[in-house]
Amino acid sequence: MKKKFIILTAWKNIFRNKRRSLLSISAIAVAVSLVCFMKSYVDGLMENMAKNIFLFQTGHVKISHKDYEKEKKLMPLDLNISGFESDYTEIVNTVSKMSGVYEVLPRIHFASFIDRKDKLKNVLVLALDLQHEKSLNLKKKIIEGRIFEEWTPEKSNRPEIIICKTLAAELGVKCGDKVTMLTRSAEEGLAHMTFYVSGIVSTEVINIDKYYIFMPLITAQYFLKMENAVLEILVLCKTKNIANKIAFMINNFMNLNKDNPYIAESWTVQNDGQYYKILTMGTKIYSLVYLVFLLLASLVIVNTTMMTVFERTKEIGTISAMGMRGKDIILLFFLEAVFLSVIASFIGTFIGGAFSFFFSRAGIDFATLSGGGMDFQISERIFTTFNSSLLVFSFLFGIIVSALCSFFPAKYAAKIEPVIAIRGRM
Amino acid sequence: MSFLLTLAFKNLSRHKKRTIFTTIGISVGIALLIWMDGMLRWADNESKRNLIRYEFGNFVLSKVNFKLDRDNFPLDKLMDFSAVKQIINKAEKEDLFCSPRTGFKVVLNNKRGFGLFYLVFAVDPVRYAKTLYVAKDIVKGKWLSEESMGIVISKNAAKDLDVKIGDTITIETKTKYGSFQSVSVTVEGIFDADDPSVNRNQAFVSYKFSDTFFQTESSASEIVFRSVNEKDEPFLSKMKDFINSIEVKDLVFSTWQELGADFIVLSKTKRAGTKIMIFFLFIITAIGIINTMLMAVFERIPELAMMRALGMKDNFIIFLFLLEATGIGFLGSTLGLFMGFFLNLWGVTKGLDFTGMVKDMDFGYRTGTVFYSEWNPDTMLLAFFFGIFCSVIVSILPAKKAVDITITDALHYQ
Repeated sequence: MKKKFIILTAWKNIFRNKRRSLLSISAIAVAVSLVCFMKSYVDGLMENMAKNIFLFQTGHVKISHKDYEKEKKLMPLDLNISGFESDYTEIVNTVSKMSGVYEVLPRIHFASFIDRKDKLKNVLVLALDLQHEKSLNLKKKIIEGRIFEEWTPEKSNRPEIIICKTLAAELGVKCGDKVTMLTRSAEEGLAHMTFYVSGIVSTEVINIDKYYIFMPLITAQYFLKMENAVLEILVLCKTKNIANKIAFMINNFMNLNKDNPYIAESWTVQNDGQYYKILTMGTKIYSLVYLVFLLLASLVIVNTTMMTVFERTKEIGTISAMGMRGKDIILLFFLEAVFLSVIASFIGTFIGGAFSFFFSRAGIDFATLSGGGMDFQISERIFTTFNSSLLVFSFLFGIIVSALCSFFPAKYAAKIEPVIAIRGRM
Repeated sequence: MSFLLTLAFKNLSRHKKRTIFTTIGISVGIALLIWMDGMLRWADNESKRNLIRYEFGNFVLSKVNFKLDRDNFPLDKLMDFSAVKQIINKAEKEDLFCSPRTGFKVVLNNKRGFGLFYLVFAVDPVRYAKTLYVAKDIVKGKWLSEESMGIVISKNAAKDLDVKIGDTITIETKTKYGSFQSVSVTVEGIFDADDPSVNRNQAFVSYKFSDTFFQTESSASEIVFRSVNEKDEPFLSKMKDFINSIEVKDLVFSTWQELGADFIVLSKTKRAGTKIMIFFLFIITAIGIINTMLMAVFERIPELAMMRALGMKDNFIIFLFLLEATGIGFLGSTLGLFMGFFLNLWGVTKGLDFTGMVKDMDFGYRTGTVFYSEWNPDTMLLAFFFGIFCSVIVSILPAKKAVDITITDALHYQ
């Protein structure tokens, strides 16, 4: 009965000074919507970067030759994976069967010159086996022409490649054009070959689109004189958290062979994974930023509660003289603030959520926003994340922070002596 | 007046704890502002210095169609030797350092693997050492001489290729006439420039070497100019006049701002970021001050009423509170100035070391991985007055509250 009375009074009290209540509500609502949107943006950014790094550079686990990482910048192709008895497929097959493994991607990653119109252009080539590459889904990303066909010396077709769009524009090549590539084979000799461009592709990752060419794995193996071998095998797990476990399992399997020259490393220990790791640590700072935002907004609610306490000193005197206990008075003021913050958080979550939802569909043009020039694996278009946990987080975070802040002024009300308070203002 | 001053000061010392807290709030804001500004200013200026001293000088002269395609360093758009010589003679009379250079896109290779993509500049060793700073940053071996047939590489390249002075590496590139060339060359010197972009991308050979192996015939892709005082004008306009007066056609000047455009964009974005930061700092401190002043007003309602009843004018009371706010602002700003000064002192002498964190990642800034700071007396002064000004401005509303209540009510306010 008494509880109900307090709750009801607290609710009614909100409407006594509508302008002030509105001020507190809007301050917190703005802060909550900002927090909601910022979180969804930062999460979206990190998710995007993780996806690109895992897909193009590190995998969740990367299997390579033990000495490759040391000389990685020089790209030595003789430090490759040729399997233990027959070829690399024995590793691919065994790893695909492990539980928790989603995809196994055998690849060759090499650098090359393109000699075109008296210009020498340095490019990077990613040779891959389309049968395995489901996540990359190259076919869908083609914006002109078609996907390449595999070429081997026995077949009568032409060797084909597809080129990323920014690079294609810089080279001035179109579908059907010929380009001559020059590189160094795994046997350290010079390798020359002319390829036909079968399609132009856009991966939408700024750094990839600028430098990359895609080629069928089997063609590259002939071109580079490394038949039955690949440079690296990327493993994508069902979640990135089990990468260490999977890497351990793969290493155990490979170590069964004497003098195993290969090593499996999870993304957390690879150099290319480090940037992402540092950045994720960096985003933890954002939690602090969220807190500061809300604390700032909460100062308004603290102020409001303080004002109400001062304004109602006389009332407090009366009700406490009539026997209401201190802790109920605290509850009365505290509840008023809680109601305000619930309403505000709800509105804030709604607005912030609406923005996040919109940009999770429409995307944000990151390339123009950042001005470019950064060495990150980020897509041109960033999609904010939008899910229930984001909404729940913003809603609860808003309520908890602002309610906690308003506890202190509420406590102050209970300290007022009835005899003095009853003579209070007005 | 002096009465009001003493009263305001006395009022400030009535609630020492509260005053101290507000003061600390303001001072932290101001100190951070000063320090961040110092650091960003350093990064900005250091980047500009490095762009001028290591990459482009104040301006670069090249053929028009070379400039359009500068990313690829095309070898069919070079200035021939006679033109280069004419221009250099003139420029050196104008108190300009200048040096021709010819860029080649190459792969540096040391026996294994494909190698590293680099940009090799064929330079006039003596002039280049006068014009740009790379020659000053040799850490091992020595800079090129006119007769030398070796190469000078960066410490990054030396580490990646695993070579020492005297070792041989291979350069692979196309010559001026389009034939493919692969030459072995001895490492003569290793440099460690302040500009990370040069460390990552550039290597140097003499013209004698490039004439022998790359068929350059002493023609240059660009001529780099640096003025003695590192100012662009009036040298740029003087040189423009001269270029118009000579026979060579299709020449164009590019300033370092044009060539380092990626950095200029970045620098602008960062500056916008600072403004947002200042805004937030302002809000945080403002709320702190407003709170303090409101508390002070409410606490003193009865005594203010008494003063008003005795005949003090409302404006005086508002003025009194504003004086108090000025006091808080002054204390906070002074403390903040000191803190900012010492933070900056630490920044200027020691600096923040990010080496372990960023490794050789490219952030667009042309600075090393130790972030220093720069003295910024103007920002310090500005922040100091900004602190006082803000605390006065935001206190106007609470002060007005003090004279809102009628005297009779206020007199028996608890």
